[in-house]
Amino acid sequence: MGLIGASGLGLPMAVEVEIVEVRIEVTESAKLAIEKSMSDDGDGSVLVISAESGGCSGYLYDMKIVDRPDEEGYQSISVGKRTIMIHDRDSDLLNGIVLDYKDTLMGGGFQITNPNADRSCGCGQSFG
Amino acid sequence: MQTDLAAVGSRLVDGMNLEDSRPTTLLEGDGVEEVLSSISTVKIEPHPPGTISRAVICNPVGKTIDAPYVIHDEAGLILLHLCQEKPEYLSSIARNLSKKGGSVRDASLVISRSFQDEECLDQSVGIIIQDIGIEGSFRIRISSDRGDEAPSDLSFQYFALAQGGLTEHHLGGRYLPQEIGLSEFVKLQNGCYPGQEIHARLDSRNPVTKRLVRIRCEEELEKKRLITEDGKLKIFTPFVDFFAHAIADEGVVDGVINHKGIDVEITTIHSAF
Repeated sequence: MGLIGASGLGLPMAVEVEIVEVRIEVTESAKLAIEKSMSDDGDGSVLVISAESGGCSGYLYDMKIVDRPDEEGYQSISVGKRTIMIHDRDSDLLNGIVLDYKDTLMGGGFQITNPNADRSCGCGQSFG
Repeated sequence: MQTDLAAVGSRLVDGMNLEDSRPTTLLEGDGVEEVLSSISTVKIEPHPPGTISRAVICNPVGKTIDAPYVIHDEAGLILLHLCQEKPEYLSSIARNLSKKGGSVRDASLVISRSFQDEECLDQSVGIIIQDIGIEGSFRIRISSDRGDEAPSDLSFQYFALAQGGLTEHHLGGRYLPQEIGLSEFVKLQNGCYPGQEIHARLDSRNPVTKRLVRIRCEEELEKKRLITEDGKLKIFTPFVDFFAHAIADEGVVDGVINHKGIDVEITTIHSAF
């Protein structure tokens, strides 16, 4: 037995994460880039955008093309023929983001502008 | 009031059992070590229950917010926070853990922690962090049992200032970890964590040479900045019974100096608790 043992699950939550209905804006260039990136993937594939702890500003964006997650707790946003999914736990952080795509040799790729971010890292991948 | 410097600090008596009421948190779920490591200056490796690690959490400009002791427990990781209030960075951890079914729980009511000296009679079960304090003569006892020992009426602030502990004056994003006795926990190899960019730049271009020292003197000094022949000291805590903490320039050496007729003893705090 440890200090807390199985009784840990009976402890009160220290932090509750707010869940909101997510609305995001996807620019035309980002829509084209999503379609191109997912052209080899079947209809069951989705783009998951998430915010993980870490990075130099506290949170780190992550984007993955995966099979549609089975578990509950995701919100779906249709973008043309494709679907973007965002976990409920990230909903308050990612609500209102603008997803853009820049086709440049340096610093190009998907870019996220986040109205919830007080600060962001120079690389554009971390925010807080 | 003039006192004898040698007699200052005599309030730390045998049998001390000082309760620490700062918050305690349980992180439970898969990958807790990885999630905590993603915001800490040092990687937290998985360890058997009962092992103790230390995390240091900084803000994006590299200043210290918290430096919790981490107890590896069967239920998860128990964080013994050094900040007075539940820290905001727990939201980021909760977000990650909850996606995998984990959570961040308040363990303050079930975990007791106290500072004890070696003479304290309470030897009951629990986890002991040994050799803390400037002389290494104190320990932290963590237990789910509050024990029988009567709590000491010594003030935490006095104990921390006398023995090299961190208080609200050290934390809250005011100082770099290297300035407050936490250099050993800054590991740039841990990758990208809040403040890492600043720490890496300092490490390569302008390493931090200032250090945390304890000031002990015969009477409270009026000025918060001491200028000695060897360098400056910035006193940033209040004086509590003739003890305070300061950040000293590299050249300042340990020992007793005389400042305007007052004897001032300077002692480096190598590892703050």
